[in-house]
Amino acid sequence: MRSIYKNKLYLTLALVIGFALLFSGFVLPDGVAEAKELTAKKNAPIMLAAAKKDTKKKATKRKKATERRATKKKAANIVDPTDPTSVLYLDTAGKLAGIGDPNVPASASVKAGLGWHPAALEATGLPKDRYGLIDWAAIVRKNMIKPRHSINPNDSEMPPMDLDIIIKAKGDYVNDVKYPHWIHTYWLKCEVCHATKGGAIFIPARGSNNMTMVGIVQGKWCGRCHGKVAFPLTDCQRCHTVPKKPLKK
Amino acid sequence: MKLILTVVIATFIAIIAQTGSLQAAGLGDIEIDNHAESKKEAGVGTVIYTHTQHAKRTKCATCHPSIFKKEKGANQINMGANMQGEYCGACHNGMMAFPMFHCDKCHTDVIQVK
Ligand code: HEC
Ligand code: HEC
Ligand code: HEC
Ligand code: HEC
Ligand code: HEC
Ligand code: HEC
Repeated sequence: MRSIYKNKLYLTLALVIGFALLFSGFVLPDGVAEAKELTAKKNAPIMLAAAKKDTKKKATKRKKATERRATKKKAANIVDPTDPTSVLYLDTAGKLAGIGDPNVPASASVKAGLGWHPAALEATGLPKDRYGLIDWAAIVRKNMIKPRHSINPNDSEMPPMDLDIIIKAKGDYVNDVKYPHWIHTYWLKCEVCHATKGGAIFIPARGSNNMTMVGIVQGKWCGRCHGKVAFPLTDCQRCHTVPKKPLKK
Repeated sequence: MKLILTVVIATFIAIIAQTGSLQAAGLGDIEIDNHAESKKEAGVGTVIYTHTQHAKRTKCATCHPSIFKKEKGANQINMGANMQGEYCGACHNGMMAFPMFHCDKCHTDVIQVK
C-alpha cells in the first residue's frame, strides 16, 4: 500500500514541476522569443497581400485558413535549417546578437548601437583571418580604411616606420618571429612601447628584452596587447613566420 | 522507476569499467619527454598526456595510427609541428579543443615570469 502512495506522490510532484517550468517560460529564452516576434512581423505584409485578393464572401473562411497555414509556415521558418534567415546568433552572454538577415536589426541593444550583428558584419565583406576574426592588418594593407590621426587637426602625423626585427625563438623546432614595426607604428606611437609609463614594454635595442613565450602568454611583452586589443595568441603562425635555418649536425 | 534506476547504474558501471580497462592496459597517463633541453630553455616542464581523459571523448582510431604511432616515445612531437596542426595541434587549435597558448595545461612546471 505505502509504496503505491509514494509512487503517486512522485508522479504528481513531477507533473507539477513540469507544468511550473512550462508556464514560467523557462523553455523559451528571451532571444528566441524576440526572434519569433521578428519573423512574425516580417511575415505580416505577405499575409495582408494574400488576404486582399480574396472576395469578401469567402474572406472570413479563407482568412482563417491562411492564418492556420501562416502559423504552420512561421513554425517551419524558425526550425528550417536550410533557410539562412532562420539562423540565430547568440552573443557570449547567451542573448540574441542577430539573425540571418543583415537588414533586420537583431535586438534592442543592436538598435541602440551597443551590440553586434554577425550577419550585418558578414555583409561588409571585411577580410577575416583563419579563425574568422576581422583581420585589421589586412584592412590596413588593402587601404580599406583611413583613420583620422588625431582629434587635434594641427597635430602632425609621423609616417609608419618600416623596420622588421627577427626575434629568435628558443629551441630547434619553432619558427622564429618576425616583428614588423610598420603595422605597429601605423596604429601606435613609439612611446607606447619604448617609453611606457611604469617601465618600457620593450627596450629599443635588438635582443635586449629577454622575452619568453611563457611570459608572453602570462601577459608580458607582446602579450600586453595580443589577445587584448590585437589579434589573439591562438594564431601562432601569424607571429612565427620565419623558418629556422636547417639544423647543423 | 526500477527501469530508470537500472539504466543509470548500468551506465555508471560501463563508464567505470571502460576507464578501468584502459588503466589495466597501461594506458593511463603517458609522460612525453623527448626534448628535455629545449623545454628547459623555454621554461616549461615535461608533458603529461592523459589517455583516459581523451578516450572519453575521442575514439582510438581518431588518433591511432593517423596522428600518433601507438608506441610510447615513438612520435617526434614538438611545438613547431603542433602549431602547424600536427600531433596535439590537430585538435588543440582553439576550435576543437583549448588553444595552444595554454602552455600550463599540457606542460608541468611552467615558470612564472615576474
Ligand atoms: C608595438 C610596440 C613597438 C612600437 C610602437 C615601436 N617599437 Fe621599436 N621595437 C619594438 C620591439 C619588440 C623591438 C625589438 C626589441 C628586441 O629585439 O628585444 C623594437 C626595437 C626597436 C629599435 C632597435 C632596433 C635595433 O636594430 O636594435 C629601435 C631603434 C626602435 N625599436 C625604434 C622605434 C621607433 C622610432 C618607433 C616609433 C616610430 C618604435 N620603435 C615603435 C616594439 C615597438
Ligand atoms: C602596444 C600593443 C602591441 C604590442 C606590445 C605588440 N603588438 Fe603586435 N599588433 C598590435 C596591433 C594593434 C596590431 C594590428 C591589429 C591586429 O592585427 O590585430 C598588431 C599586429 C601584429 C602583427 C600582424 C601583422 C600582419 O601583417 O598581419 C604581428 C605579426 C604582430 N603584431 C607581432 C607582434 C610581436 C611579435 C610582438 C612582440 C614582440 C607584438 N606584436 C607586440 C599591437 C601590439
Ligand atoms: C604576438 C606574437 C606571438 C604569437 C601569436 C605566438 N608567439 Fe610564440 N613567440 C613569440 C616571440 C616574440 C617568441 C620569442 C621569445 C624569445 O625571445 O625567446 C616566441 C617563442 C615561442 C616558443 C619558443 C620558446 C621561447 O620562449 O622562446 C614557443 C614554443 C612558442 N613561441 C610557441 C607558440 C605557440 C604554441 C603559439 C600559438 C598558441 C605562439 N607561440 C604564438 C611571439 C608569439
Ligand atoms: C587524443 C589522441 C589519442 C586517443 C584518442 C588514443 N590515444 Fe593512444 N596514444 C596517444 C598518444 C599521444 C600516445 C603516446 C605516444 C608517444 O609517447 O609518442 C599514445 C600511446 C598509446 C599506446 C602505447 C603506450 C605505450 O606505453 O607504449 C597504446 C597501446 C595506445 N595509445 C592505445 C590506445 C587505445 C587502445 C586507445 C582507445 C581507447 C587510444 N590509444 C586512444 C594518443 C591517443
Ligand atoms: C583527437 C583530438 C585530440 C588530440 C590529437 C589531442 N587532444 Fe587533448 N583534448 C582533446 C579534447 C576534445 C579535449 C577536451 C576539450 C577541452 O578541454 O578543450 C582535450 C583535453 C586535453 C587536456 C585537458 C583535459 C585533461 O585533464 O586531460 C589536456 C592536458 C590535453 N588535452 C593534452 C593533449 C596533449 C598533450 C596532446 C598531444 C600528445 C593532445 N591533448 C592531443 C582532443 C585532442
Ligand atoms: C596540447 C598540449 C600542449 C600545449 C598547449 C603546449 N605544448 Fe609544448 N609540447 C607538447 C608536447 C606533447 C611536446 C613534446 C614533448 C617532448 O617530446 O619533450 C611539447 C614540446 C615543447 C617544447 C620542446 C620542443 C620544441 O618544440 O622546442 C617546448 C619548448 C614547448 N613545448 C613549449 C611550449 C610553450 C611555450 C607552450 C605555450 C605557448 C606550449 N609548449 C604549449 C604539448 C603542448
